[in-house]
Amino acid sequence: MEEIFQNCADNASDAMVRWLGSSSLMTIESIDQAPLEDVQVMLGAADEPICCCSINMTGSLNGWLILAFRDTSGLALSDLVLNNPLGTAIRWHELEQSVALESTNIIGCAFLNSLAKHLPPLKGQPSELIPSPPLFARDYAGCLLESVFMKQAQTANELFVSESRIELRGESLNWNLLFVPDSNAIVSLQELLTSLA
Amino acid sequence: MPERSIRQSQTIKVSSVRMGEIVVGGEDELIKSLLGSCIGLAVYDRIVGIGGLAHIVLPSSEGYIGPPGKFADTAISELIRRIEEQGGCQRNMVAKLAGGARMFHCESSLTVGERNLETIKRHLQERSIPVCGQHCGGTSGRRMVFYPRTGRVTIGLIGEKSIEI
Repeated sequence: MEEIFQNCADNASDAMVRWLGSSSLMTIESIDQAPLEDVQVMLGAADEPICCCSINMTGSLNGWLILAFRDTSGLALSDLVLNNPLGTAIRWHELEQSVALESTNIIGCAFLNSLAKHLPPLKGQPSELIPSPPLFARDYAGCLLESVFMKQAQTANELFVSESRIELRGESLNWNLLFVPDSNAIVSLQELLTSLA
Repeated sequence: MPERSIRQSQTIKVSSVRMGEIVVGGEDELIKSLLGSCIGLAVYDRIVGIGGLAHIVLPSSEGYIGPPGKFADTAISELIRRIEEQGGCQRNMVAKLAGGARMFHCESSLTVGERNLETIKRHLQERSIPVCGQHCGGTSGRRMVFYPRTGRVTIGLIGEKSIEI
């Protein structure tokens, strides 16, 4: 599983390099199961604000792909993309949000396209993962994470998540990419692993 | 019993209620929870000043096993039981509700939030527990703070001043 997700992360990294014109690295931090009650603190303090750009994934697997970051990391990305000195962007205006959303779109599509290639064909047709347009939200970290895991929580008390960390020019930007499949998708991923074994 | 995250701040004991948990307290206690699509249900006995907060995730257990605080149908009876265990009486209880937001403008989370709210209200009505305050729906997360002794509940939205319900 880790090998598959690392491959997806490598493809997402390549897409980031092309988008930013700068070296980037995405590594799989963990593929884990977290108890329901620990989900809200997965990215640190639950009552601090965090930004999430979310893609709803449908097709062969359903779930969420989330790019999560604190204000400073997200605004730094905006400065980088817009070729501004670091610290120029200080608030989330429309332009800064657009940069975050477009970056999520690029990373997310590359990640999902790569993952789809690993999935077995469905009724003779190649598997596909269809991303929704990304949505931007800024809120308490605990509130956003709680909502992301609602679907999984319907059938499980241990929640599955793959977490990636993104580095840019060798420095950690504290962006986290969370892959959160729903409960049916988890079963499909388990079947995939069995078929590969 | 779920773990309780507790820290001592002067004379007030602060407890955090995480997803699917229930915490009951009384004098000199403060219970808080962060709510997105889930519902925070505060129930307290107005006479003895004991109450609890449940962080409810889903409307019905439907055969799934989980902590009692996770599902509306099991959370309410467990919350009442624990308050009564500490000296509360159901006929003196009132409720306040918060949460049920549509955090990502996602249809499914809206449905769950709405179903949660409907189910909770129905169960409370069946037990003759009136809802005397609520702050539900919308698209923002909430920080719910509950003072069991007085029944005071404050709601904080990010970047806004807290309000009392």
